[in-house]
Amino acid sequence: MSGIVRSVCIKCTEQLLKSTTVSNFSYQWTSLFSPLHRRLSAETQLITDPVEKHEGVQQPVVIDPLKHPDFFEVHKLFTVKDLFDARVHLGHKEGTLDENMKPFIFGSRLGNLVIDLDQTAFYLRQALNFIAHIAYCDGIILFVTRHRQTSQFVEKTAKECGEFAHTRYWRGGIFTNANMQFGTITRLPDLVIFLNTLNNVFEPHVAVRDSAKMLIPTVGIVDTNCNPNLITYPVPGNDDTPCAVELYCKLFKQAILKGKSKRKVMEQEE
Amino acid sequence: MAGARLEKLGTIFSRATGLIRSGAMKEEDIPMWYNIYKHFPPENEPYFARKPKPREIVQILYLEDVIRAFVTKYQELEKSGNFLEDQLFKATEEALSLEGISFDIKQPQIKQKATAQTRIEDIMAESSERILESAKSTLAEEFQAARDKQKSNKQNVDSET
Repeated sequence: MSGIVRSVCIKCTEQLLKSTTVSNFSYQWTSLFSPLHRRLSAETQLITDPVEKHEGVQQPVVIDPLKHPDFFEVHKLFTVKDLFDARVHLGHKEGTLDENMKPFIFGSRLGNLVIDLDQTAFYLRQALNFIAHIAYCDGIILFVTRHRQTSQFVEKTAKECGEFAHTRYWRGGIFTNANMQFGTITRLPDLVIFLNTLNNVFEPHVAVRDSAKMLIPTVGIVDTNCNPNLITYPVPGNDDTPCAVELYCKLFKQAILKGKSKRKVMEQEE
Repeated sequence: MAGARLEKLGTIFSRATGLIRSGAMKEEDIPMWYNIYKHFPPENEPYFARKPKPREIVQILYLEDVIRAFVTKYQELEKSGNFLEDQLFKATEEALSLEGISFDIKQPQIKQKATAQTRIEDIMAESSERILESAKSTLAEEFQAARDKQKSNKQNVDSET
C-alpha cells in the first residue's frame, strides 16, 4: 500500500457495502473506524430548516442542495484576475498541442499557447460545485498527481482537508483489482482530482482511464498537452507552475471544507 | 457488474444509467455521484471519441510587433555593414517589403522630400490603420533625431579627447 496517505477505507463485511441507510450500520462500526467513517448513501441529504412560522405553526422547510444552482457559493472563491495572477493561462508550445484542447485555447503568442481564462473560470466553477457536493455527501476524494515539483504540496493539501492523495508510482490494478492489491475488500474513491493528468513520461496517467472504467467521476487540470476527453469535469489551465497548482489546491480545499461544514450543520440540526 | 468497464464506450453516466435500467445495479448500489451529475452535468460529455469543435489557433500580435520587426531588421542590416547610414532606412524598408510588410512613410514637412506612396498591406484591422500611420510618421523623425544625437555625441567625444 505504498504511497497512499491514510489508505482507502476498509469494510468489515460485504453486507456493509450493500447497505445504505444511515441509521442501521453507521454507528455500530463508527467506534472501530471513526476517523474514516463515511456514509455510503446515494440519496440526497436534505436539510430541514425549522425556521418559518406560518400562522403560529412551525413548518419545517426542506432544502434540497441539488436544486440550488450554487448551494456552496463556489463562484465567490476566485476571480479571473486570480487565475491570471497565478499564471493559469500559460500553456506549452504549439507543437505539443493536443487536438482536443483546441477549443480552450485563447491564442498563440510567438509559439507559446495562451489558455482562455473565461472558459477556465466557467469549467472551474462547475468542477468546484461538483467537488463540494461530493464532500457534502461524505464522499472519498483522491488527489492524484505525478508532477514531482508539486507532489509534496498536493499531499499536504489532501491532509489538511481530511482527504486522500496518491502521488507515487501507480501500480496497475489499484482501481481495477483493488481487492487483490490491498488484500481486503476495499471501497474505491467517489471522486478523483488530478492536479496533473500526465505521468512522468508525458503519457496520460493510468488513473484517468481506470477511473472511467470503475465509474468514478474525475476532476482534472488539463494543460495544452493533455487529453481532456475521459475526464468528467476538465479544467483547462497550467499544471506545471507551482503558484498555479497552489491556487488549484487552495480552491479544491475550500470547496471540500465548505461541503463538509454544511454537512456538519445539517447533522447538528437533526 | 457486466459492461461497466468499457471506458471508450459512452460516458460513465451513460453506462451507469444502462446498468440501473437493466437491473444490474440495484437502487441501493447507485453511486453517490449519480444524482449530482444528473443535476449538474458537465458542459462537454466526457466520452472518449468526442471530437472537439474545429477552431483555428489565433496568433496574438500587437501594433508594436511591426515596429519591433522594423527595428530588428534595421539592426541586422547595420551589423552586416553592407549599407551606408543614409541608405539603411530605405534598405530596411525594402527588406521588409520582400517579407510582405510594406510601409507608408510620411516624411516630416520640414524635409520637403518626395515620398514613395506605397499601399499599406496590414495584418491588423482597418481601425488600427490610422494609429499605425501616425506611428510610422514619427518613426522617421525619431530615427533622424537618434542618428543626429549619435553624431553630436561622437563629435563631443572627439573634441574632448
